[in-house]
Amino acid sequence: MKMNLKYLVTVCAVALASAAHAQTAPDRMTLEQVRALVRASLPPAIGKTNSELVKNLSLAKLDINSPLSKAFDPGKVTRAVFGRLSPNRDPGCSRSRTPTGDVDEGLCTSMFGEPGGAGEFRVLSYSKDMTVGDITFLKRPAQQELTPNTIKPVTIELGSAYDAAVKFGSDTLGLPRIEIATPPAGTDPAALVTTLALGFGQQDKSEGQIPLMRVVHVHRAAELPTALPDPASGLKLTHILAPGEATFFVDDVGVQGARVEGWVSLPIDPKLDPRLAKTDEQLADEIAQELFAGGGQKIAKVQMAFALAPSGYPNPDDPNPPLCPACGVLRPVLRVVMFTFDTQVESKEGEIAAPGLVHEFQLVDGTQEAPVRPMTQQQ
Amino acid sequence: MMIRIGWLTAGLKLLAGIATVAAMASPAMALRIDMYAIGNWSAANCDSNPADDRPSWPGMAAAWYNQMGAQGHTKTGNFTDGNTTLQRFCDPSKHAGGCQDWWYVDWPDAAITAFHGGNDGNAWSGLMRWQWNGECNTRFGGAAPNMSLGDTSVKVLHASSCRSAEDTYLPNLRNSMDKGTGKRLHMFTGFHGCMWISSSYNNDYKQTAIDGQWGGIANSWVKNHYKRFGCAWYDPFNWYHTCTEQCPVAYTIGSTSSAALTRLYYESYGNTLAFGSPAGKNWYAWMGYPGCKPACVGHPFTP
Repeated sequence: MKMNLKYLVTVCAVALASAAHAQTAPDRMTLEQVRALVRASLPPAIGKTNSELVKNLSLAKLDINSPLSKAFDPGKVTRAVFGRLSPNRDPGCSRSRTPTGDVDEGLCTSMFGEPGGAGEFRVLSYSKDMTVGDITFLKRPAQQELTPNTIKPVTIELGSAYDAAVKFGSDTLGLPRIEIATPPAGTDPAALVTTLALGFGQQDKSEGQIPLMRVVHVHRAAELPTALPDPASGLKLTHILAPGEATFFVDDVGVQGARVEGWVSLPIDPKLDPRLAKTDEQLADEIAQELFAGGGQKIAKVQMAFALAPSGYPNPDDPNPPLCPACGVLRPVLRVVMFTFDTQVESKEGEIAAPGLVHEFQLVDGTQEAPVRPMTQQQ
Repeated sequence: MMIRIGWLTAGLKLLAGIATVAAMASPAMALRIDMYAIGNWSAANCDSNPADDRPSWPGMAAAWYNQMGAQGHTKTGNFTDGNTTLQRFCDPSKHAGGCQDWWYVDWPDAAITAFHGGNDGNAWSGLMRWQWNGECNTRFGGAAPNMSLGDTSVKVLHASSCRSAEDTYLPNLRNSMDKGTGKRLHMFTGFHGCMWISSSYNNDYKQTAIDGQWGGIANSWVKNHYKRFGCAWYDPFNWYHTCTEQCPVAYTIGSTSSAALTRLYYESYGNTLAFGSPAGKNWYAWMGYPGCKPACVGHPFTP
């Protein structure tokens, strides 16, 4: 699988002044202030020596016996999306290699109905090489005049919608069940499920809204061998983030659409050396310098998360051997999200603020091995 | 350093699937599409602070723009950085002299914008690169907009911009969608509160183009841009309500509630020409996530 390196630089767009020339200058932090904030925001699990932490993270559990690349059954998913309908399947679906002999990393698309027509339409797309981990399907009902009284509001309970989505993802799409973390008993379903709604109004008056779909957004998870406690809250981190997200759109009938993105089937780097784990000071310094250089001179808060991320190659001297089925590996990283504005704070008119950033930082030194071949940057 | 392996080379990734999609956008249904993006402000005179530059931003808009082109639509203008001023968005009815509908954003059938945004009197205000006519900001909606779209060609406007479609704007966004000529803007999309930029989010914009071709523009926007992230370190899955959200919103107008709702749900890039112009703006309709709580705004989406 040929992968390209790209920067994971996430930046919060920012509020701005109604008249730029009337903007007030932001209160800029010094590098030392940024470093102090970052240091204070490091998870308490990070200390002076982090070999044990990295070892714990690198042993996080993914389904290596039945990853998505093996569990995905195109026939089953096709039946689930189209039922007894006869979709048109892209003839290119049967081509698994490019003309140059590489693994075809494109999508296989099937559809039923006229895309631009007014009738019922359904479409399913998935990675031909499922180590990539992309699946999308949607269903569009036949066009009819909608009125506030004819739109059927979704009534399925949030918890039931979550259960239905996870079951569909696991049983039908093939997402490994152990890679979807089970929430603790008593978790508020509203923390897991949101509702997509249609609303309408006349002139300047809102006239109503109709709940349309439950939306279940799932991050892929990897269970830690040893949970990490948070002394302040008494809570424990039992799973870390792994590459891949899935979103399900559920109504009272069932799952009406889904998007799985980047649920890559890659191993955790077997060559990772926990003895090379960075210290807290090294991490704080690295993060602070990166944030400061990238616009992080006004920070409301910093949030961090442990994650596994595709990073590097198992064989740096030959990163893309011919017909390589999966050339990447996963390594533990610290995902850092910098907020310019907290969720409780509203930016003011007439104010412009330096946006926030999200970066990923390797937890282990010397693991960012440069591939021999030139890489293509997406941006 | 925060380099990671990306998923796959963008151009290759969708080629096979796109072959099918591209066949859909027949010449008769092909749209003219533009993108207007700013990644660098500091080299111009509206915002000299380098910390506000966002070099990854145009890439997100380009992901939508290029995908639309791959689907058979006609790429008619990539206006990134350069001389981006209010002149590209203003209307002759608002600025006598210096504005023409057929010059920039009113000329294509669909356009995406990507630049800093904010709330200016319950209107979306966009920050330009260069001052023009004494102004650095666009203003869409509200009581006194300086943008008025839809009377020439443009039917769909996407705003990849913070605070571009907040709940408090909804009653008056329509003021920028109807100039009283009988032709109106069909669809506007944006965000309640702050949106986020990342090269890893490019696929969201690409997928917006793909799904919007057949599955409804509004549906595609709100389904591909909702996110939950930025959680406490011990709560990456939001079990304890510590995460923030990205809150997309889609919006349209109509002469009746039914007309607005029907358009919002069904109008796609592939049928927008057949849908025709909204017959009025007395009614509006939106699609979004009530309760969605983003950064930059002190309250959840409460339309």
